[in-house]
Amino acid sequence: MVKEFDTILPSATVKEAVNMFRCAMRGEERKGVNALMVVDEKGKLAGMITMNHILKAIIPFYMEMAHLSEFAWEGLFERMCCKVQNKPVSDIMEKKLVVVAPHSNLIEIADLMLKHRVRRLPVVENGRVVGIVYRKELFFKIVETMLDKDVCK
Amino acid sequence: MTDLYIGTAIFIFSYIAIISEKIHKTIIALFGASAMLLLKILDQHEALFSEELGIDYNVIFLLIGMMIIINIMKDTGVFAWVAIRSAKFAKGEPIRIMTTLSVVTAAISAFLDNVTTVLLVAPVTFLICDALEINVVPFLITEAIASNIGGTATLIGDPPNIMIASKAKLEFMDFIYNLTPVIILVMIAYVFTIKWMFGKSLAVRPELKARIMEMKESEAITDPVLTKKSVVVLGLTILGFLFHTPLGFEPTTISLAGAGLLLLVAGKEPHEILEKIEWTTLFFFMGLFIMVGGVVKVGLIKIMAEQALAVTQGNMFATSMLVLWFSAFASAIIDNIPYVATMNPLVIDMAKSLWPNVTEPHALLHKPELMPIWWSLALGACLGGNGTLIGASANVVVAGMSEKAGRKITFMQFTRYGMPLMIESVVICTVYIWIRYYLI
Repeated sequence: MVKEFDTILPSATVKEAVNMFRCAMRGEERKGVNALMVVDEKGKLAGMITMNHILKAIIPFYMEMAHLSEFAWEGLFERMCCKVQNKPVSDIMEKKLVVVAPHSNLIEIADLMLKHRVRRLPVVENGRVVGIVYRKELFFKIVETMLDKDVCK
Repeated sequence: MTDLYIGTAIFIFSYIAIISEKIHKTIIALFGASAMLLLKILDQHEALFSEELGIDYNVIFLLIGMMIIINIMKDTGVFAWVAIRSAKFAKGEPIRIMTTLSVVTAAISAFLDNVTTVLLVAPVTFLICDALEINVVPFLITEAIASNIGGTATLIGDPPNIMIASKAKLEFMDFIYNLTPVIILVMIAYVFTIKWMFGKSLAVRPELKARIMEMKESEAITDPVLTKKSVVVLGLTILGFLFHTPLGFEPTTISLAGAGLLLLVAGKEPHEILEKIEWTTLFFFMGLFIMVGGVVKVGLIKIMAEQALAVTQGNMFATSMLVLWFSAFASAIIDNIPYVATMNPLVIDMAKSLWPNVTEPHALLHKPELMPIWWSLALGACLGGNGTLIGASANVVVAGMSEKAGRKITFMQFTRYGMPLMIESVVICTVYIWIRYYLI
């Protein structure tokens, strides 16, 4: 579990979120983070936003609805970016979050990650995010157990 | 006597619950139906097997057949192809696109259900309006209204017509001979009226029209082979409907045959297609039929029919007009399906009251003096749905999509256009009915 992570307010704009994605990826110990936990003023977890959510918001809803994306015209992507950038993060973020508790076991975490196809899970205690657990950490654990330690005989 | 009160009470409470929209109407219909059975208003045999009182399987299976056909067709992209082709035909001119799409929507909706038609034309409408940078709302409203108008033209175009055809034992060509002509007139007036209503407000920068003209509609087709197969089967099905009488089949048979054929040639997994059938709608119908059967049995409908006849004093023209206009306004406010389900037995009871000596069902149902009443009911119930936002499901669906696009269509906004257009269409029907059935 990683205890240092970036958060953003629900009222922040998508543009601000994109900026944080860029900055967040520069930090050494935060390399590979491309999701932000959306936490309200009271500190409670409200949602999560990733670049995919922004991508989804850029595609006009009717194109997604009906396989019409091949009819997009020159400049539409840029235009949709401009349209989306001032929207509040709360409009685009994932609100239905799968979370784990600080004491959740590794099997449970692995199962949830696979079932919901996510690479990170917020670790929540009393509605507050206390950390994020990454799929990579499970990979490291596998490598450690199978190769490095003498656990399996 | 108590049965009358119980049956009426179940019916009224259910109707109010449906109108209030607090609970889903299918749940109410099924609950109301079971109440009718549990309180012994109807018995199970009547509910399931009585032609007069029970579930009308003609309607259920006709709908199932057409739902299967449209479910297979819609994923091929053929409707998007038609819509884009229409926009190009209109040369990117907004008002011409609006009228072309309205006519196309009406034409499709004459054969396939209104809501699905609108759901298929709307995404391309959004695309076109986005490309032209014009407001999509007038297009959505005119398409919803056009789908309701078009659906009135044929037996299969709108559920009220299917229900009337079943109870009145009418044929596909009866609708073509009696309703299609007036609907064509209504559509002509409609096109001119919307041109007048929206013509001035829709201007587009010329360079944006190129975006439309450059669209290659063939790219909308995701499955060319299935598209060809579906179009052929749909064509055969429509031919089947047109000739069902000389062929000796009823409409539902044609619908099921078309569905069966398309399922066979489409080569898809059946459960994929069948699970997309609108079961919620079909179960609503089933529950509704049983509830109406209950009030028919206890005699409530007979009482209502006698009241109606008392008002018009047996004057058939007055009765036609009453049915036409009352149906139109009723249908603008309440769902036309429960309304027509209730009116069908009412019209039959009126006929029985007026001509007690005619006992042979066909002769009674098709008495020349009665026919205009059926047509008035069909026209009023179908066209009335255009009057307000809640009058027809197509309207509600369109408003929902518009809200998703960030442009909410309010009740008043829709009604401001819908009500005058509805009244215009019903006035045309009035003149038509008067001239065709009473003057000539």
